[in-house]
Amino acid sequence: MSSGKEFSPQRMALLAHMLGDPAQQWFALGLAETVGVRSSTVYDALKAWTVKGWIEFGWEDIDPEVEGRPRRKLYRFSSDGAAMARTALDSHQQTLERAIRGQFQPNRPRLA
Amino acid sequence: MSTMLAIGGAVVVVVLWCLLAAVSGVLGDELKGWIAWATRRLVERAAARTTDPDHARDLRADFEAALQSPDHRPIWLLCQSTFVYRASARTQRGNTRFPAVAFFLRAILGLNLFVLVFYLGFVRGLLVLAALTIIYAWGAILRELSKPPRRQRP
Repeated sequence: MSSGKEFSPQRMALLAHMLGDPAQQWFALGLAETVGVRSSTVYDALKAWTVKGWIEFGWEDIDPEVEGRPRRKLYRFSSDGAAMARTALDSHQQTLERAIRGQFQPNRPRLA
Repeated sequence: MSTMLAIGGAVVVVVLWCLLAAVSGVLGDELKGWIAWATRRLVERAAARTTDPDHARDLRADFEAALQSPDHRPIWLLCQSTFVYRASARTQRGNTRFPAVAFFLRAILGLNLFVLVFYLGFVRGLLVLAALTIIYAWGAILRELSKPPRRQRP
């Protein structure tokens, strides 16, 4: 059973965007800007997904002296991370569908 | 006469336009500087509040990189730093390490209030206490307003 925060609409939008191109690398603020969610949500989600092993991170390959800015932390799906994320999303979607079907069943038993 | 007026009007418009462009550029740069300062300040405070040093380093690096990038949007970044700051404040409130600190701070505050009332006398002391209560209540109201609405039970 997933918590409400695990598949909030913002996190689902984020995951859907990332699964659109699983080979790509992202940085947190870029994701926030592209998907249109708050940076705090992105940081929370990326941290949770890193703990789950869906994504892994590395550091941007630049010379900070040359670029004049610090390196960004880049996130990408782990080897089987995209598959695990898709499975979790599928499972969540099935739960939602069951709930919707249950909501519209005309002959469901009533409580007392 | 009407030709002179038209030419004069056009000159005035052009001069005003140039002045406005110059001033807006200077003002815009000044404002951008202040917005960047506020963004850095909020990120620093958010990073100081978090108990995860890795997250603090990520925050600083990401926002600094974004601020240094030439095509960044200052207002958007300021908003994002506000979100990060508010999230860190929520985390801090839920943190188990800080209630002990808060208890000692309140104890010191209580001691100070006792000294204040003792030296100011009863009436003036009460007035100061009333003022402090109003300030505290106002802070509590603002904190309550900044929370998301509670879910209503069906």
